[in-house]
Amino acid sequence: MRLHIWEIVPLKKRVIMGFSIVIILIGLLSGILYYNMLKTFHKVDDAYLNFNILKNYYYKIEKVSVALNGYLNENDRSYISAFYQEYDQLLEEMNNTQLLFVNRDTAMLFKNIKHMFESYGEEAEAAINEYRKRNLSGLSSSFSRTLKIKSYMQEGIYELMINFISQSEIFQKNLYSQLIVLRTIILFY
Amino acid sequence: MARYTKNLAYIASILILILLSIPFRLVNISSDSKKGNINNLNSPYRLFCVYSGSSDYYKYLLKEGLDDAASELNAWVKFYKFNSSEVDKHCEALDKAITAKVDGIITNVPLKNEIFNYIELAYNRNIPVITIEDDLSNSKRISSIVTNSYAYGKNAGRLMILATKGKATTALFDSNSNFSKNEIKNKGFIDAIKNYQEMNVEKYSVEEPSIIEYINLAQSIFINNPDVNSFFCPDIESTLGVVRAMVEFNKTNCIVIGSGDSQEILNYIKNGIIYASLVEDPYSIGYFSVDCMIKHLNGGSISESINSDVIIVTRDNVDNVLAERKDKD
Repeated sequence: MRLHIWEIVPLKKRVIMGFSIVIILIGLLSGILYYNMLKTFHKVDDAYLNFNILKNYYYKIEKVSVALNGYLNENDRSYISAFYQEYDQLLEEMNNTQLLFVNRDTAMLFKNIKHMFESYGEEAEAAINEYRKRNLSGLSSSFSRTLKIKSYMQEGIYELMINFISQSEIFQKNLYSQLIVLRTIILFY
Repeated sequence: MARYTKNLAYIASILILILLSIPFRLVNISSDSKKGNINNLNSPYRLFCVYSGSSDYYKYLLKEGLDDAASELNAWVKFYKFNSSEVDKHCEALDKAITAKVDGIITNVPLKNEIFNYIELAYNRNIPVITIEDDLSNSKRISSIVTNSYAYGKNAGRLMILATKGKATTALFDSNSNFSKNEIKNKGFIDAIKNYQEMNVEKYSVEEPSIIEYINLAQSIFINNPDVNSFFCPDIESTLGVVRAMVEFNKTNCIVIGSGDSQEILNYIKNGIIYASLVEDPYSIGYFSVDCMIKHLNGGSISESINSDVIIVTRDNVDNVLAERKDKD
Protein backbone atom coordinates (compact mmCIF):
# COMPACT_ATOMS: atom_id res chain seq x y z
CA MET A 1 0.00 0.00 0.00
CA ARG A 2 1.38 3.41 -1.05
CA LEU A 3 1.40 6.07 1.64
CA HIS A 4 0.88 9.73 0.73
CA ILE A 5 3.47 12.19 2.02
CA TRP A 6 0.81 13.90 4.11
CA GLU A 7 0.12 10.68 5.91
CA ILE A 8 3.81 10.08 6.81
CA VAL A 9 4.30 13.51 8.41
CA PRO A 10 2.60 13.79 11.80
CA LEU A 11 -0.25 16.32 12.10
CA LYS A 12 1.64 18.60 14.50
CA LYS A 13 4.56 18.91 12.10
CA ARG A 14 2.19 19.45 9.20
CA VAL A 15 0.52 22.37 10.98
CA ILE A 16 3.90 23.87 11.92
CA MET A 17 5.11 23.47 8.32
CA GLY A 18 1.97 25.09 6.95
CA PHE A 19 2.26 28.06 9.31
CA SER A 20 5.97 28.42 8.59
CA ILE A 21 5.29 28.58 4.85
CA VAL A 22 2.54 31.14 5.37
CA ILE A 23 4.77 33.27 7.61
CA ILE A 24 7.70 33.09 5.15
CA LEU A 25 5.49 34.03 2.22
CA ILE A 26 3.84 36.91 4.08
CA GLY A 27 7.29 38.10 5.16
CA LEU A 28 8.43 37.95 1.54
CA LEU A 29 5.32 39.79 0.42
CA SER A 30 5.87 42.52 3.02
CA GLY A 31 9.51 42.81 1.94
CA ILE A 32 8.60 43.28 -1.70
CA LEU A 33 5.89 45.74 -0.78
CA TYR A 34 8.26 47.70 1.45
CA TYR A 35 10.88 47.83 -1.30
CA ASN A 36 8.34 49.00 -3.88
CA MET A 37 6.91 51.62 -1.57
CA LEU A 38 10.37 52.94 -0.78
CA LYS A 39 11.14 53.09 -4.50
CA THR A 40 7.89 54.92 -5.20
CA PHE A 41 8.53 57.36 -2.33
CA HIS A 42 11.91 58.14 -3.90
CA LYS A 43 10.32 58.63 -7.31
CA VAL A 44 7.77 61.08 -5.92
CA ASP A 45 10.66 62.94 -4.24
CA ASP A 46 12.69 62.90 -7.46
CA ALA A 47 9.82 64.29 -9.48
CA TYR A 48 9.60 67.21 -7.04
CA LEU A 49 13.38 67.61 -7.12
CA ASN A 50 13.25 67.84 -10.91
CA PHE A 51 10.47 70.34 -10.58
CA ASN A 52 12.67 72.46 -8.30
CA ILE A 53 15.65 72.23 -10.65
CA LEU A 54 13.48 73.50 -13.49
CA LYS A 55 11.99 76.25 -11.33
CA ASN A 56 15.55 77.30 -10.56
CA TYR A 57 16.37 77.42 -14.29
CA TYR A 58 13.28 79.50 -14.91
CA TYR A 59 14.45 82.16 -12.43
CA LYS A 60 18.05 82.01 -13.62
CA ILE A 61 16.95 82.63 -17.22
CA GLU A 62 15.03 85.61 -15.92
CA LYS A 63 18.18 86.83 -14.13
CA VAL A 64 20.27 86.48 -17.31
CA SER A 65 17.65 88.43 -19.21
CA VAL A 66 17.51 91.18 -16.56
CA ALA A 67 21.30 91.55 -16.73
CA LEU A 68 21.20 91.83 -20.54
CA ASN A 69 18.34 94.35 -20.40
CA GLY A 70 20.23 96.33 -17.73
CA TYR A 71 23.33 96.61 -19.89
CA LEU A 72 21.49 97.49 -23.08
CA ASN A 73 19.16 100.00 -21.43
CA GLU A 74 21.37 101.59 -18.78
CA ASN A 75 24.88 101.04 -20.21
CA ASP A 76 26.02 99.89 -16.77
CA ARG A 77 29.19 97.77 -17.10
CA SER A 78 28.40 95.80 -13.95
CA TYR A 79 25.41 94.34 -15.79
CA ILE A 80 27.50 92.98 -18.67
CA SER A 81 29.85 91.06 -16.38
CA ALA A 82 26.81 89.80 -14.45
CA PHE A 83 25.25 88.72 -17.74
CA TYR A 84 28.29 86.70 -18.86
CA GLN A 85 28.76 85.21 -15.42
CA GLU A 86 25.11 84.16 -15.06
CA TYR A 87 24.95 82.89 -18.64
CA ASP A 88 28.10 80.74 -18.41
CA GLN A 89 27.08 79.39 -15.04
CA LEU A 90 23.62 78.41 -16.21
CA LEU A 91 24.95 76.82 -19.42
CA GLU A 92 27.41 74.82 -17.34
CA GLU A 93 24.59 73.74 -15.03
CA MET A 94 22.44 72.71 -17.98
CA ASN A 95 25.30 70.66 -19.42
CA ASN A 96 25.68 68.78 -16.14
CA THR A 97 22.05 68.57 -15.11
CA GLN A 98 21.28 65.65 -12.87
CA LEU A 99 17.57 65.32 -13.53
CA LEU A 100 16.23 62.16 -11.96
CA PHE A 101 14.15 59.44 -13.56
CA VAL A 102 14.00 61.00 -16.98
CA ASN A 103 12.62 59.21 -19.99
CA ARG A 104 13.33 59.92 -23.65
CA ASP A 105 10.55 62.48 -23.96
CA THR A 106 11.72 64.57 -21.03
CA ALA A 107 15.36 64.26 -22.11
CA MET A 108 14.53 65.54 -25.60
CA LEU A 109 12.37 68.37 -24.25
CA PHE A 110 15.22 69.38 -21.98
CA LYS A 111 17.67 69.20 -24.88
CA ASN A 112 15.43 71.62 -26.79
CA ILE A 113 15.61 74.10 -23.90
CA LYS A 114 19.38 73.75 -23.64
CA HIS A 115 19.86 74.45 -27.35
CA MET A 116 17.43 77.34 -27.14
CA PHE A 117 19.58 78.76 -24.37
CA GLU A 118 22.64 78.49 -26.63
CA SER A 119 20.67 80.32 -29.37
CA TYR A 120 19.75 82.92 -26.75
CA GLY A 121 23.45 83.43 -25.99
CA GLU A 122 24.27 83.86 -29.68
CA GLU A 123 21.48 86.36 -30.16
CA ALA A 124 22.44 88.25 -26.98
CA GLU A 125 26.04 88.44 -28.23
CA ALA A 126 24.75 89.87 -31.52
CA ALA A 127 22.65 92.43 -29.61
CA ILE A 128 25.67 93.48 -27.52
CA ASN A 129 27.78 93.92 -30.68
CA GLU A 130 25.08 95.98 -32.37
CA TYR A 131 24.81 98.11 -29.22
CA ARG A 132 28.56 98.74 -29.21
CA LYS A 133 28.39 99.69 -32.90
CA ARG A 134 25.44 101.98 -32.09
CA ASN A 135 23.39 100.21 -34.77
CA LEU A 136 19.88 100.74 -33.45
CA SER A 137 17.95 98.70 -36.02
CA GLY A 138 20.28 95.70 -35.61
CA LEU A 139 20.10 96.08 -31.83
CA SER A 140 16.33 96.22 -31.83
CA SER A 141 16.02 93.11 -34.00
CA SER A 142 18.52 91.05 -31.96
CA PHE A 143 17.10 92.25 -28.67
CA SER A 144 13.54 91.33 -29.62
CA ARG A 145 14.86 87.90 -30.72
CA THR A 146 16.34 87.37 -27.25
CA LEU A 147 12.95 88.15 -25.70
CA LYS A 148 11.23 85.76 -28.10
CA ILE A 149 13.72 82.97 -27.35
CA LYS A 150 13.31 83.60 -23.62
CA SER A 151 9.56 83.09 -23.99
CA TYR A 152 10.18 79.83 -25.92
CA MET A 153 12.49 78.59 -23.15
CA GLN A 154 10.01 79.45 -20.43
CA GLU A 155 7.24 77.69 -22.37
CA GLY A 156 9.50 74.65 -22.68
CA ILE A 157 10.23 74.69 -18.96
CA TYR A 158 6.49 74.85 -18.19
CA GLU A 159 5.93 71.87 -20.49
CA LEU A 160 8.63 69.87 -18.71
CA MET A 161 7.28 70.87 -15.29
CA ILE A 162 3.83 69.63 -16.28
CA ASN A 163 5.48 66.44 -17.50
CA PHE A 164 7.14 65.89 -14.13
CA ILE A 165 3.95 66.72 -12.24
CA SER A 166 2.09 64.13 -14.31
CA GLN A 167 4.82 61.60 -13.56
CA SER A 168 4.58 62.44 -9.89
CA GLU A 169 0.80 61.91 -10.02
CA ILE A 170 1.35 58.43 -11.47
CA PHE A 171 3.83 57.61 -8.70
CA GLN A 172 1.41 58.89 -6.07
CA LYS A 173 -1.40 56.74 -7.46
CA ASN A 174 1.01 53.82 -7.37
CA LEU A 175 1.84 54.55 -3.77
CA TYR A 176 -1.84 54.75 -2.90
CA SER A 177 -2.47 51.31 -4.45
CA GLN A 178 0.41 49.89 -2.43
CA LEU A 179 -1.02 51.37 0.74
CA ILE A 180 -4.33 49.65 0.00
CA VAL A 181 -2.49 46.33 -0.34
CA LEU A 182 -0.69 47.01 2.94
CA ARG A 183 -4.00 47.69 4.66
CA THR A 184 -5.38 44.41 3.26
CA ILE A 185 -2.37 42.50 4.60
CA ILE A 186 -2.78 44.06 8.03
CA LEU A 187 -6.46 43.06 8.02
CA PHE A 188 -5.47 39.57 6.86
CA TYR A 189 -3.17 39.24 9.86
CA MET B 1 -8.62 15.45 9.09
CA ALA B 2 -5.63 14.88 6.77
CA ARG B 3 -7.77 15.65 3.70
CA TYR B 4 -9.08 18.79 5.40
CA THR B 5 -5.55 20.00 6.22
CA LYS B 6 -4.43 19.26 2.65
CA ASN B 7 -7.28 21.35 1.17
CA LEU B 8 -6.56 24.14 3.60
CA ALA B 9 -2.90 24.12 2.58
CA TYR B 10 -3.86 24.33 -1.11
CA ILE B 11 -6.23 27.24 -0.52
CA ALA B 12 -3.63 29.04 1.63
CA SER B 13 -0.96 28.58 -1.07
CA ILE B 14 -3.24 29.98 -3.77
CA LEU B 15 -4.14 32.96 -1.58
CA ILE B 16 -0.50 33.65 -0.83
CA LEU B 17 0.40 33.46 -4.52
CA ILE B 18 -2.36 35.94 -5.37
CA LEU B 19 -1.16 38.26 -2.61
CA LEU B 20 2.43 37.92 -3.78
CA SER B 21 1.52 38.83 -7.36
CA ILE B 22 -0.07 42.15 -6.29
CA PRO B 23 3.10 44.06 -5.41
CA PHE B 24 4.70 42.92 -8.66
CA ARG B 25 1.71 44.26 -10.56
CA LEU B 26 2.08 47.56 -8.80
CA VAL B 27 5.53 48.13 -10.28
CA ASN B 28 4.19 49.91 -13.35
CA ILE B 29 6.68 52.73 -13.49
CA SER B 30 8.01 53.39 -16.98
CA SER B 31 10.84 51.01 -17.68
CA ASP B 32 12.76 53.50 -19.81
CA SER B 33 13.19 55.85 -16.85
CA LYS B 34 16.82 56.48 -16.02
CA LYS B 35 18.64 58.28 -13.30
CA GLY B 36 21.60 60.56 -13.91
CA ASN B 37 22.89 63.23 -16.24
CA ILE B 38 20.14 64.00 -18.69
CA ASN B 39 22.69 64.81 -21.40
CA ASN B 40 24.13 61.30 -21.25
CA LEU B 41 20.87 59.69 -22.27
CA ASN B 42 21.16 57.83 -25.56
CA SER B 43 20.12 60.65 -27.88
CA PRO B 44 18.11 59.86 -30.97
CA TYR B 45 17.57 62.40 -33.73
CA ARG B 46 15.34 65.27 -32.63
CA LEU B 47 12.80 66.17 -35.29
CA PHE B 48 9.99 68.73 -35.35
CA CYS B 49 6.94 68.24 -37.54
CA VAL B 50 4.71 71.28 -37.98
CA TYR B 51 1.41 70.82 -39.74
CA SER B 52 -1.54 73.12 -40.38
CA GLY B 53 -4.73 71.70 -41.84
CA SER B 54 -8.45 71.43 -41.32
CA SER B 55 -8.99 67.68 -40.91
CA ASP B 56 -8.36 66.30 -37.41
CA TYR B 57 -8.45 62.78 -38.75
CA TYR B 58 -5.75 63.64 -41.30
CA LYS B 59 -3.58 65.00 -38.47
CA TYR B 60 -4.23 61.88 -36.41
CA LEU B 61 -3.08 59.57 -39.21
CA LEU B 62 -0.11 61.79 -40.02
CA LYS B 63 0.99 61.59 -36.37
CA GLU B 64 0.55 57.82 -36.41
CA GLY B 65 2.87 57.58 -39.41
CA LEU B 66 5.41 59.89 -37.76
CA ASP B 67 5.32 57.97 -34.47
CA ASP B 68 5.63 54.55 -36.09
CA ALA B 69 8.61 55.62 -38.17
CA ALA B 70 10.18 57.37 -35.17
CA SER B 71 9.95 54.31 -32.94
CA GLU B 72 11.33 52.04 -35.67
CA LEU B 73 14.19 54.35 -36.57
CA ASN B 74 15.14 55.60 -33.11
CA ALA B 75 14.05 59.18 -33.67
CA TRP B 76 12.10 61.58 -31.51
CA VAL B 77 9.41 63.65 -33.19
CA LYS B 78 7.66 66.62 -31.66
CA PHE B 79 4.40 67.15 -33.52
CA TYR B 80 2.79 70.61 -33.68
CA LYS B 81 -0.66 70.69 -35.26
CA PHE B 82 -2.70 73.76 -36.08
CA ASN B 83 -5.82 74.71 -37.99
CA SER B 84 -5.46 76.08 -41.50
CA SER B 85 -6.06 79.64 -40.27
CA GLU B 86 -3.30 79.50 -37.61
CA VAL B 87 -0.41 80.32 -39.92
CA ASP B 88 1.20 82.59 -37.29
CA LYS B 89 1.42 79.70 -34.84
CA HIS B 90 2.79 77.48 -37.61
CA CYS B 91 5.58 79.99 -38.27
CA GLU B 92 6.28 80.33 -34.54
CA ALA B 93 6.65 76.55 -34.22
CA LEU B 94 9.15 76.59 -37.10
CA ASP B 95 11.03 79.39 -35.36
CA LYS B 96 11.07 77.33 -32.15
CA ALA B 97 12.49 74.36 -34.06
CA ILE B 98 15.28 76.47 -35.55
CA THR B 99 16.03 78.04 -32.17
CA ALA B 100 16.12 74.60 -30.53
CA LYS B 101 18.67 73.50 -33.18
CA VAL B 102 16.73 70.37 -34.01
CA ASP B 103 18.19 67.75 -36.33
CA GLY B 104 15.45 68.12 -38.91
CA ILE B 105 12.14 69.83 -39.68
CA ILE B 106 9.11 68.40 -41.48
CA THR B 107 6.45 70.92 -42.47
CA ASN B 108 3.59 71.49 -44.85
CA VAL B 109 3.27 74.76 -46.73
CA PRO B 110 0.23 76.76 -45.62
CA LEU B 111 1.78 80.01 -46.91
CA LYS B 112 4.51 79.82 -49.54
CA ASN B 113 6.49 83.02 -48.87
CA GLU B 114 6.66 82.64 -45.10
CA ILE B 115 7.59 78.96 -45.17
CA PHE B 116 10.14 79.70 -47.90
CA ASN B 117 11.87 82.17 -45.57
CA TYR B 118 11.93 79.69 -42.70
CA ILE B 119 13.40 77.00 -44.97
CA GLU B 120 16.19 79.46 -45.92
CA LEU B 121 16.79 80.25 -42.25
CA ALA B 122 16.93 76.57 -41.33
CA TYR B 123 19.27 75.84 -44.25
CA ASN B 124 21.65 78.58 -43.07
CA ARG B 125 21.78 76.85 -39.67
CA ASN B 126 22.35 73.40 -41.21
CA ILE B 127 18.89 72.13 -40.35
CA PRO B 128 17.42 70.03 -43.18
CA VAL B 129 13.76 70.59 -44.06
CA ILE B 130 11.34 68.21 -45.77
CA THR B 131 8.07 69.63 -47.05
CA ILE B 132 4.93 67.51 -47.10
CA GLU B 133 1.72 67.81 -49.12
CA ASP B 134 3.07 70.74 -51.16
CA ASP B 135 6.44 71.25 -52.71
CA LEU B 136 8.54 74.40 -52.68
CA SER B 137 10.92 73.31 -55.41
CA ASN B 138 12.68 76.69 -55.59
CA SER B 139 13.52 76.57 -51.87
CA LYS B 140 16.39 74.78 -50.16
CA ARG B 141 14.27 71.94 -48.80
CA ILE B 142 16.03 68.60 -49.14
CA SER B 143 12.98 66.69 -50.31
CA SER B 144 9.22 66.83 -50.53
CA ILE B 145 6.70 64.08 -49.91
CA VAL B 146 3.75 64.96 -52.10
CA THR B 147 0.89 63.38 -53.88
CA ASN B 148 1.49 63.12 -57.62
CA SER B 149 -0.99 65.77 -58.76
CA TYR B 150 -1.01 64.55 -62.36
CA ALA B 151 -1.84 60.96 -61.33
CA TYR B 152 -4.43 62.39 -58.92
CA GLY B 153 -6.15 64.22 -61.78
CA LYS B 154 -5.91 61.18 -64.04
CA ASN B 155 -7.59 59.02 -61.40
CA ALA B 156 -10.32 61.63 -61.06
CA GLY B 157 -10.78 61.59 -64.87
CA ARG B 158 -11.12 57.80 -64.93
CA LEU B 159 -13.69 57.96 -62.13
CA MET B 160 -15.62 60.61 -64.07
CA ILE B 161 -15.69 58.37 -67.17
CA LEU B 162 -17.00 55.54 -65.03
CA ALA B 163 -19.64 57.70 -63.34
CA THR B 164 -20.94 59.41 -66.49
CA LYS B 165 -20.40 56.52 -68.94
CA GLY B 166 -18.29 58.84 -71.05
CA LYS B 167 -20.89 61.59 -71.58
CA ALA B 168 -20.32 64.75 -69.53
CA THR B 169 -19.54 68.42 -69.41
CA THR B 170 -17.31 68.87 -66.41
CA ALA B 171 -16.48 72.07 -64.54
CA LEU B 172 -12.82 72.39 -63.54
CA PHE B 173 -11.48 74.91 -61.03
CA ASP B 174 -8.24 76.81 -60.77
CA SER B 175 -7.28 79.06 -57.92
CA ASN B 176 -4.48 81.57 -57.60
CA SER B 177 -3.19 80.38 -54.22
CA ASN B 178 -2.99 76.72 -55.13
CA PHE B 179 -2.66 77.38 -58.81
CA SER B 180 0.11 75.09 -60.00
CA LYS B 181 -1.08 72.07 -58.00
CA ASN B 182 -4.66 72.32 -59.22
CA GLU B 183 -3.53 73.07 -62.76
CA ILE B 184 -1.53 69.82 -62.82
CA LYS B 185 -4.51 67.92 -61.41
CA ASN B 186 -6.71 69.44 -64.13
CA LYS B 187 -4.16 68.46 -66.78
CA GLY B 188 -4.23 64.86 -65.54
CA PHE B 189 -8.02 64.97 -65.65
CA ILE B 190 -8.12 66.31 -69.22
CA ASP B 191 -5.57 63.73 -70.40
CA ALA B 192 -7.66 60.93 -68.90
CA ILE B 193 -10.82 61.94 -70.80
CA LYS B 194 -9.21 63.15 -74.04
CA ASN B 195 -10.21 60.04 -76.03
CA TYR B 196 -13.87 60.40 -75.12
CA GLN B 197 -15.62 62.50 -77.76
CA GLU B 198 -18.65 63.23 -75.63
CA MET B 199 -16.70 64.50 -72.64
CA ASN B 200 -15.98 68.22 -72.41
CA VAL B 201 -14.59 70.53 -69.79
CA GLU B 202 -15.38 74.11 -68.75
CA LYS B 203 -12.66 75.90 -66.78
CA TYR B 204 -13.44 78.39 -64.03
CA SER B 205 -11.05 80.57 -62.10
CA VAL B 206 -11.41 81.58 -58.47
CA GLU B 207 -9.66 84.69 -57.17
CA GLU B 208 -9.69 83.97 -53.46
CA PRO B 209 -10.70 80.37 -52.88
CA SER B 210 -13.00 79.70 -49.97
CA ILE B 211 -16.09 77.56 -49.48
CA ILE B 212 -18.35 80.61 -49.86
CA GLU B 213 -16.58 81.64 -53.06
CA TYR B 214 -17.14 78.15 -54.52
CA ILE B 215 -20.81 78.17 -53.44
CA ASN B 216 -21.30 81.43 -55.36
CA LEU B 217 -19.42 80.11 -58.38
CA ALA B 218 -21.40 76.84 -58.46
CA GLN B 219 -24.66 78.78 -58.22
CA SER B 220 -23.69 80.96 -61.15
CA ILE B 221 -22.74 77.83 -63.14
CA PHE B 222 -26.16 76.29 -62.47
CA ILE B 223 -27.86 79.48 -63.71
CA ASN B 224 -25.62 80.46 -66.64
CA ASN B 225 -24.32 77.14 -67.88
CA PRO B 226 -26.95 74.40 -67.54
CA ASP B 227 -24.88 72.05 -69.77
CA VAL B 228 -22.45 71.46 -66.91
CA ASN B 229 -23.54 68.21 -65.30
CA SER B 230 -20.41 67.23 -63.42
CA PHE B 231 -17.65 68.73 -61.31
CA PHE B 232 -14.06 67.84 -60.56
CA CYS B 233 -13.14 69.56 -57.29
CA PRO B 234 -9.37 69.44 -56.69
CA ASP B 235 -9.46 70.46 -53.01
CA ILE B 236 -11.66 70.33 -49.90
CA GLU B 237 -12.91 73.92 -50.23
CA SER B 238 -14.16 73.47 -53.80
CA THR B 239 -15.73 70.09 -52.92
CA LEU B 240 -17.71 71.47 -49.99
CA GLY B 241 -18.65 74.67 -51.84
CA VAL B 242 -19.97 72.85 -54.90
CA VAL B 243 -21.85 70.20 -52.92
CA ARG B 244 -23.48 72.71 -50.59
CA ALA B 245 -24.65 74.69 -53.63
CA MET B 246 -25.96 71.49 -55.27
CA VAL B 247 -28.01 70.68 -52.17
CA GLU B 248 -29.32 74.24 -51.95
CA PHE B 249 -30.26 74.38 -55.66
CA ASN B 250 -31.56 70.81 -55.68
CA LYS B 251 -29.01 69.80 -58.35
CA THR B 252 -28.05 66.53 -56.70
CA ASN B 253 -28.17 64.73 -60.04
CA CYS B 254 -24.80 66.33 -60.94
CA ILE B 255 -21.77 64.07 -60.61
CA VAL B 256 -19.02 65.25 -58.26
CA ILE B 257 -15.53 63.85 -58.02
CA GLY B 258 -14.21 65.61 -54.94
CA SER B 259 -11.18 65.76 -52.67
CA GLY B 260 -10.72 65.19 -48.95
CA ASP B 261 -12.27 63.03 -46.29
CA SER B 262 -13.82 65.37 -43.77
CA GLN B 263 -16.85 63.99 -41.95
CA GLU B 264 -19.15 66.16 -44.07
CA ILE B 265 -17.63 64.87 -47.32
CA LEU B 266 -17.93 61.26 -46.16
CA ASN B 267 -21.61 61.84 -45.30
CA TYR B 268 -22.22 63.25 -48.79
CA ILE B 269 -20.55 60.15 -50.29
CA LYS B 270 -22.69 57.88 -48.13
CA ASN B 271 -25.83 59.73 -49.29
CA GLY B 272 -24.77 59.43 -52.93
CA ILE B 273 -24.33 63.18 -53.51
CA ILE B 274 -20.59 62.90 -54.07
CA TYR B 275 -19.68 60.04 -56.43
CA ALA B 276 -16.11 59.67 -55.17
CA SER B 277 -13.45 61.59 -53.26
CA LEU B 278 -9.69 61.34 -53.62
CA VAL B 279 -7.78 61.43 -50.38
CA GLU B 280 -4.08 61.76 -49.78
CA ASP B 281 -2.61 59.09 -47.51
CA PRO B 282 -1.39 60.97 -44.42
CA TYR B 283 0.02 57.87 -42.71
CA SER B 284 2.46 57.18 -45.56
CA ILE B 285 3.33 60.88 -45.77
CA GLY B 286 4.21 60.93 -42.05
CA TYR B 287 6.10 57.66 -42.19
CA PHE B 288 8.15 58.45 -45.29
CA SER B 289 8.99 61.96 -44.16
CA VAL B 290 10.70 60.60 -41.02
CA ASP B 291 12.26 57.73 -42.97
CA CYS B 292 13.74 60.13 -45.56
CA MET B 293 14.96 62.55 -42.91
CA ILE B 294 16.79 59.79 -41.01
CA LYS B 295 18.34 58.50 -44.25
CA HIS B 296 19.56 62.02 -45.02
CA LEU B 297 20.91 62.54 -41.49
CA ASN B 298 22.76 59.23 -41.72
CA GLY B 299 24.48 60.45 -44.89
CA GLY B 300 22.33 58.58 -47.39
CA SER B 301 20.96 60.11 -50.57
CA ILE B 302 17.25 60.73 -50.95
CA SER B 303 15.08 61.69 -53.89
CA GLU B 304 14.10 65.37 -54.19
CA SER B 305 10.47 64.48 -54.60
CA ILE B 306 8.67 61.40 -53.33
CA ASN B 307 5.12 60.55 -54.35
CA SER B 308 2.67 59.31 -51.77
CA ASP B 309 -0.44 57.25 -52.41
CA VAL B 310 -3.97 58.42 -53.07
CA ILE B 311 -6.97 56.66 -51.53
CA ILE B 312 -10.28 56.66 -53.41
CA VAL B 313 -13.40 56.78 -51.25
CA THR B 314 -16.68 55.83 -52.93
CA ARG B 315 -20.08 54.67 -51.70
CA ASP B 316 -18.69 51.10 -51.79
CA ASN B 317 -15.99 51.65 -49.18
CA VAL B 318 -17.22 54.72 -47.28
CA ASP B 319 -18.71 52.55 -44.53
CA ASN B 320 -15.32 50.93 -43.93
CA VAL B 321 -13.67 54.36 -43.74
CA LEU B 322 -16.33 55.62 -41.31
CA ALA B 323 -16.06 52.46 -39.16
CA GLU B 324 -12.26 52.67 -39.08
CA ARG B 325 -12.50 56.32 -38.07
CA LYS B 326 -15.02 55.54 -35.34
CA ASP B 327 -12.64 52.88 -33.96
CA LYS B 328 -9.75 55.33 -33.88
CA ASP B 329 -11.86 58.09 -32.31
